[in-house]
Amino acid sequence: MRPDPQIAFATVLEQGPAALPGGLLAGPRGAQLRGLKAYANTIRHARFVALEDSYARTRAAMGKAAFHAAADAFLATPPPRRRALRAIGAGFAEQLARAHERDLARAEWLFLEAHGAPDTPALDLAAIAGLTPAALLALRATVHPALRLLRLEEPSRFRWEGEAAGAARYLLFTRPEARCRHHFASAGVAALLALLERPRPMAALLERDAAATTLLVEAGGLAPATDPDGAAAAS
Amino acid sequence: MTRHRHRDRPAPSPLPPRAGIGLKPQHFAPFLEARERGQGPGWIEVHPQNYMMAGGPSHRWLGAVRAAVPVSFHSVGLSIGDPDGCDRDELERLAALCERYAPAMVSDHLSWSSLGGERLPDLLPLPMTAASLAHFVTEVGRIQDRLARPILIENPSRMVAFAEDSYDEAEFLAELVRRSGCGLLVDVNNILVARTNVGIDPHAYLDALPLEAIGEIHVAGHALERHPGGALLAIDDHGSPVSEECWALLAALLERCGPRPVLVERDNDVPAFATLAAEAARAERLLEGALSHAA
Repeated sequence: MRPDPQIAFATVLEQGPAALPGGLLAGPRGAQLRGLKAYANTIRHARFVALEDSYARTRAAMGKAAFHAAADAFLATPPPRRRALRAIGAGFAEQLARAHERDLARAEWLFLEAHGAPDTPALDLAAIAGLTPAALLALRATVHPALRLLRLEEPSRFRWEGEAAGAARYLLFTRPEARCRHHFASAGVAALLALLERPRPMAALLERDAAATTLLVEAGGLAPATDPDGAAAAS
Repeated sequence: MTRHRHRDRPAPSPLPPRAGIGLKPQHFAPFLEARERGQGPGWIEVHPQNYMMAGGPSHRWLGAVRAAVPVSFHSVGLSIGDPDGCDRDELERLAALCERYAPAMVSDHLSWSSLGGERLPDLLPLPMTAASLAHFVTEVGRIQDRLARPILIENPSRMVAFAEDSYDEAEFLAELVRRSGCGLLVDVNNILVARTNVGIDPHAYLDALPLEAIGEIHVAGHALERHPGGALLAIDDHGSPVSEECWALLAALLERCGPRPVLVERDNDVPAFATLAAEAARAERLLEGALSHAA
């Protein structure tokens, strides 16, 4: 296909009526401009709504006008314009001015990531209860694919679903089943997750930080590590 | 690799020749409850782009729906008319979803939504030229090869036409069907939108379509903007009930092509499930009439 007419078309959508060359479109110029304006509006609206849908809580916290201004600035940059609508909001938090707004926007994005992460059985408390102590200590665990961890910049101002972060510096999302759960967590949990960059036996995790290990298991944030054949692996 | 060009036979429609609805997340539960009572639309359609995440609740719902009725995937993201070719990443994601759910039908649009790496999230019109046709034949072939199935291409809801157009739209689609082996998704509302905006004659348009290639039909409403001097701009906003004019043109199409799967499409200002189901029931009555006429 000759790209020239499409380049000219896209240029008008971006730059407005002054960029419309004669001879590109058929019919009266007024009708051409009405149609082009409607296409441009649809594109702008679709991008904006996708961002708004991803950051509903941030929008509510910032207020409509401030959110619109931030969205306009963000959507004027190339990266979001090169992504599918479902991914358009990646990085939006980083250009917000206030720490508590960045915290909330980052949390919303991580919540979405957790929501759509692969479905994998979490390390199940009931299953663990059935293991002998030796088998439990030998069980190798890994991070569940839906787990997301956020280090809060301003925990004193952060709330999620009505719950204040208080002194907790970290927000944890897990989704062992259909629903996402949130947990406020300590630096110990973050350190343990750093250790879990590769699968570790439960013995190593418990030895490092028993409380953090327990929280992660209860939250559904760990999964049994599997060997290449897909079977649960022991150390 | 075998090219999926079924020159001697039209793309079949494994969807039942019944009324379906575009299923939105807020309707998952009422839809499944209606199916349990033996009621509700006979098939549903979703935008696969809404399921292009690895897992989560949306997939659980779609799995349950897919187990209950045939599902059609109506893609809005392949950007087939991009001069650099369709979106390969999106195609791979679509192929993975087709593998997972085995949809009865897959469709996308006679349009483009990206250029030079920038996404333009709308279904933009393309010049109806020999070069565009050749491009579309190649890209539809690529998609059909990857998905190992014929797809349907939907007629656009154009708000402008290019000066260099050398085909009329129905002619372009007929040639695309002939050369690529794809089928057609005929959006009756889009014909009315293009009638208002670029002056096509709806009944002549229907007469020029390769009727045997129609695998699915959409009906919807559209918005009308009135401008100074009486000029009208029709906008395909999918945000209002199916218009009486659209129902009448659907009847005219069914009279020509016989019963085909008909979808009530609504993407904005989505009403309660019962309202959509009532519109689907009206389509169902038209289809029953077409069936008895065909018999």
